Amino acid sequence: MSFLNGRSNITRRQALKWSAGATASTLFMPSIARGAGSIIKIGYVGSLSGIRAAFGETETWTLEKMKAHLANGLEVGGKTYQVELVIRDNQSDPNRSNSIASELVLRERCNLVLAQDGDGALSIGELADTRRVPTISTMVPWQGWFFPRGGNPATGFPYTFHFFAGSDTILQTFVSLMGQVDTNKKVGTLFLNNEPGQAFMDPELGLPPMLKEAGYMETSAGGFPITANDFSNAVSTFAAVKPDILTGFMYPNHFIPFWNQVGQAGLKPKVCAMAAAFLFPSGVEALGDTGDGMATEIWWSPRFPYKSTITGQSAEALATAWEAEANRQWTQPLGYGHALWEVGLAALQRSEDPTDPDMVRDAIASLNMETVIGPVNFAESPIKSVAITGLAGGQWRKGSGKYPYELKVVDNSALPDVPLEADMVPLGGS
Amino acid sequence: MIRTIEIVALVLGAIIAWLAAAYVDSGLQFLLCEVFLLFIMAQMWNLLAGYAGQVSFGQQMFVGLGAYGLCLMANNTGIPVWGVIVIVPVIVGLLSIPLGMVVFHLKHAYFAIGMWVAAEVVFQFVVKTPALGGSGGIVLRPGGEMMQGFPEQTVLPVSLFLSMALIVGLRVFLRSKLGLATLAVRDNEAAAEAAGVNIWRLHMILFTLTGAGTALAAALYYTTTLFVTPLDAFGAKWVVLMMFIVVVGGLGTLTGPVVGLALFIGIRELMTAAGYSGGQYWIVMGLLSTGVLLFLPQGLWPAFSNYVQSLRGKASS
Repeated sequence: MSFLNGRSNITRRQALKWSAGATASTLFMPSIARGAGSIIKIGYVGSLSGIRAAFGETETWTLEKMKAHLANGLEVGGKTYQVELVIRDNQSDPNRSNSIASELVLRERCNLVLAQDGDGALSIGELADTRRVPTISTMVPWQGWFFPRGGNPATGFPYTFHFFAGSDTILQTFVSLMGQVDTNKKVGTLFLNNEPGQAFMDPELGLPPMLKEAGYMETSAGGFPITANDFSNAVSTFAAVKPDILTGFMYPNHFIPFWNQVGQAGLKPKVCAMAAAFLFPSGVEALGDTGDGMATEIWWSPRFPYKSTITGQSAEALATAWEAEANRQWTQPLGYGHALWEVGLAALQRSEDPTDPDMVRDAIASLNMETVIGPVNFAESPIKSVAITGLAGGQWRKGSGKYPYELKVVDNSALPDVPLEADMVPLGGS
Repeated sequence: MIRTIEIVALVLGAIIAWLAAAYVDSGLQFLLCEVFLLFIMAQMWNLLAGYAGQVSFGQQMFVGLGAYGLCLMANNTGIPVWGVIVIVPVIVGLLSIPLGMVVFHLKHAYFAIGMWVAAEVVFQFVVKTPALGGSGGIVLRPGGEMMQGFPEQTVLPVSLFLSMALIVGLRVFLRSKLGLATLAVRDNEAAAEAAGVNIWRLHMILFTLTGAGTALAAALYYTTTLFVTPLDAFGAKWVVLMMFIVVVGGLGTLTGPVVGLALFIGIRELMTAAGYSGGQYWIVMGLLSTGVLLFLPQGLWPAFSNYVQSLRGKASS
């Protein structure tokens, strides 16, 4: 009967084996030999290279740790499953993301897919939902994953899940940061005109109403295209009102010319909080001495009082291990990259049968756990398929140790568990 | 007219297509869909560049139009997906008539670049239009509902049969009056014109047909991926693929693209299986095409068939 109901008889791997000959099959396709049913296949897609490589800088290291952790299999309900990892780099390229999506879902038929990149998650989403492949993604504000895919908060998605902070939380944190410094309450805003940027500058749901409510006067320079390298129009708009606060959304390559022009115009802002520009130490170091005091959102820092459910390491220990082995300063994706595996493995372990997509899906949907980045709660989330995580506000200060700048937690209004490390100071030191 | 062997080929194609739909695993089906759809696209480029002599660097525009046409029409109307796949190439074909009226003013290299510019203009338009999903792309949701079932089980037999039908169709076409005119233009444009061939009309017919064919293949392809982004659908990788397959295999031959496609898929699959990540296989492709163009400029298949013929010549003499 099974011959007639359209089920599989020739798999891609077998076909490849026939065509590529015996060498290829034994060297590259060891999984054929293993019995089906006792293997869990975990697919992974991340931006390990390309323009978002900074987001994937720590990933190769994290992946090595996970390979070592899973080398002897994963125990689920008293049974040990072998784990096969299918690791793919999307090179920050949407083209590549699409072919990886079909590869992980249709050709490799993973039992679980972990996506550490927004493009990767968007590309695989619809395919994973229709083909019943449980997928967990992170590293992009949840609104940027949920709404472009046409999500409905009441129903969510059948097999795809996402955990991250919201862009609204980033903005609230920014407003809270501004309040810590004595200013003239004038705010200059400038946004990169792409999808997240449009969400930030939305007149109803973005930053403008929040600023108004908190009693600030906004001077908006609007949006600019991603190719921009001259900000003289925006700077002259600001020069007319001399705001003490500059905020918005731009990448480091925009911020450097912008900041130079701000200096040339004689503006001396006291607070500068830019989303995305200062996520990584390199963005601040590029500013030389003037980087001291730049404010940013912090999704994760070693000061977060949480520990890993996989290794038992505290956030501090995880960052120390990375700095010691990679000899580079910690970055925020280190925590989220690790937590992605925590969530994925926890879901597999809490499912009765990790090879059954419905059981894994139900296990993810009912997760409420504390990871190295803090609580990840899908079970009680107001937005189905999304676990909204916390976020702190931080400021880059001249480093006292090995690295030129250190990121200090100065605001915890959205995540009170995180201890404050320092007070927010005006730019250029207190 | 159509010969017995060609009818046999069509019937065989239909039988193989039916068997493939029933017995091949879905992962392999997806790969085969890609193979046959690339074949159709490459053959379309071949018809345009190799036979009509119009080398275009902008055929990815038709891929993008096919993909977006599919998603927009399926998502916003009640027409079933498979109906949309039939309608979209017709619309794209009609759209390519006014486009052709403009770009045909350009000749040769200028035409190739002009098409590239046209593709870039459409790409930028899609990226800047929020209603088309902007740079974020759109999801295929026929009638607002998630796509059900296994589309590759339908796409594979369709694309397999279409590939077979395309070869047969092209053979029949090249024997027809219009086909003979095409061959005459390929061999010597001035002479063909002097002999009474309306070159502009011939170019327009082939331009429209190849545009529609490319859009059809694209619509079928994106039915299996369910998600379109402008960077992917309007990506230059499509035209690079078509050129590689055709130029390495043999421009202006019907069998050449089969050889080029087999090489492309073979190298890609073996290198990916051997652990060379991402686009590293493109390095090999680049070297291979450089080598072929330097040493066998007419392509692998014509070189091979000439060689076989010279052997036969020796044997009979």
